[in-house]
Amino acid sequence: MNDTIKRYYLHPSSLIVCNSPTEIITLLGSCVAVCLWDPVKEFGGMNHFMLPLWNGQGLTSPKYGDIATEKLIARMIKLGSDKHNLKAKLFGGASVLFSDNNLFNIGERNIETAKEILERNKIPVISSSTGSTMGRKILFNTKTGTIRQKLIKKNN
Amino acid sequence: MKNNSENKTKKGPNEKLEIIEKLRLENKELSKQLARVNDKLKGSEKFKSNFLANMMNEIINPYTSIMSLSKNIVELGRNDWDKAASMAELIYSEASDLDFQLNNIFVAAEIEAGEAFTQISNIEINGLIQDAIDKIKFKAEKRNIVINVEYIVKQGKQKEPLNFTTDYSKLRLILTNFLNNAIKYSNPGGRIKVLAVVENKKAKITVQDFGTGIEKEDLNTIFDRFRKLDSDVNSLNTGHGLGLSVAKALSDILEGEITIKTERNKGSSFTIIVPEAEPDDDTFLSEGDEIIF
Repeated sequence: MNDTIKRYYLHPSSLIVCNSPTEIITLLGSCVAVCLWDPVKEFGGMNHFMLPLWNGQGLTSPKYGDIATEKLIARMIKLGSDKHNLKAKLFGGASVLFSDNNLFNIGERNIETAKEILERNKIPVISSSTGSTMGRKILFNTKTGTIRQKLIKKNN
Repeated sequence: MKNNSENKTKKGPNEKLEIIEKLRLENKELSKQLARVNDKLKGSEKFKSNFLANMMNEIINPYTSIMSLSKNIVELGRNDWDKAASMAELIYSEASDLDFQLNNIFVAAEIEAGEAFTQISNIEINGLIQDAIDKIKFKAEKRNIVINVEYIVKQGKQKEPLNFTTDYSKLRLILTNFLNNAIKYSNPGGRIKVLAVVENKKAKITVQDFGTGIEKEDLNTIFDRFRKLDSDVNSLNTGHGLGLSVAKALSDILEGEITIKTERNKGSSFTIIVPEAEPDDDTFLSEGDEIIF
């Protein structure tokens, strides 16, 4: 049990799926991370997106929730998951303190986007920690599917 | 009682008309929405075809040149070393162009896959700028464009090392794309100015050209993929419009900011400001108020 497990720091606008046991760590403010876990094959992946929907401009990168979540599901399937087995956990989407009009309610909208896409794909959200004004640091064990969370002061 | 329930189910003629009118308006609004979505779809298809057509030029042109020039070298006589050397120089220039175009395409694919992972190291900004210029100078030389580099540094010493912590290859590709853009929009024989400052844990690098400039209304779409401004058939400007969207996405990854100043027929300046990268904090202390999900 004391074998050293790989640890990976996930940056915003990125996603990763690991089919060997890995601890994925990320830091969230208004950003949202969707963690997908396959309890049958015992592996998982995480995205970390900043804005809800791609607006048709720039690259179709996983900076946007719709793209990041669809891509995460596709990557899990590509690495051998059956979509029906997938379980989701949702984190982040805190309210940010500065009030830029464009960024109004961004955390909440990020969460809604993730939920909608997961629902459309019939993937159940089995637990979540979203909203509030605190940032979060999460650590996802892709083998066991457990996620450890700590609340932190982070406002973006 | 009977009358009451009839009243509930049966609507009066006015009420019916009201509902029909409401539905008609809703239908009209939905049709409008559909038309808007269709326009966007048509637009994106057009951009896609433009993109493919432009890509063909970007890749096939240098590739054809490389093929024919190398064939010429093969057919040269033993004593024509001078000719061979100048042809090899042209091959190198065309291959460098191909390398630049392909690099943008591969990086765009990495970004879209969410796999543009950062590699942070201590770098020296002067060296990075020179490296970016070296990657693209063959294009400037073709059109007799001179690239001048100016450094504003602490203590006023010229070329003092500007040490900085960031992702070298990402920042270099942003600059190469700025330079490529500046070369495209410069007039032949023109000049390009590069200015670098490091202060308050931020690097600010500006690439300024004195060429055709960009129309104000085009600034909103400048970072769109597949988009190339001035996309007339007769346009002298080549490019598939991928470069600036790659630069923008890389700047987002580095948590930087790109600003553009432009004036028609006077030129444009593109500035990137990037904060010094902090090391990833991948520690997770077990004590404290931890919750397990």
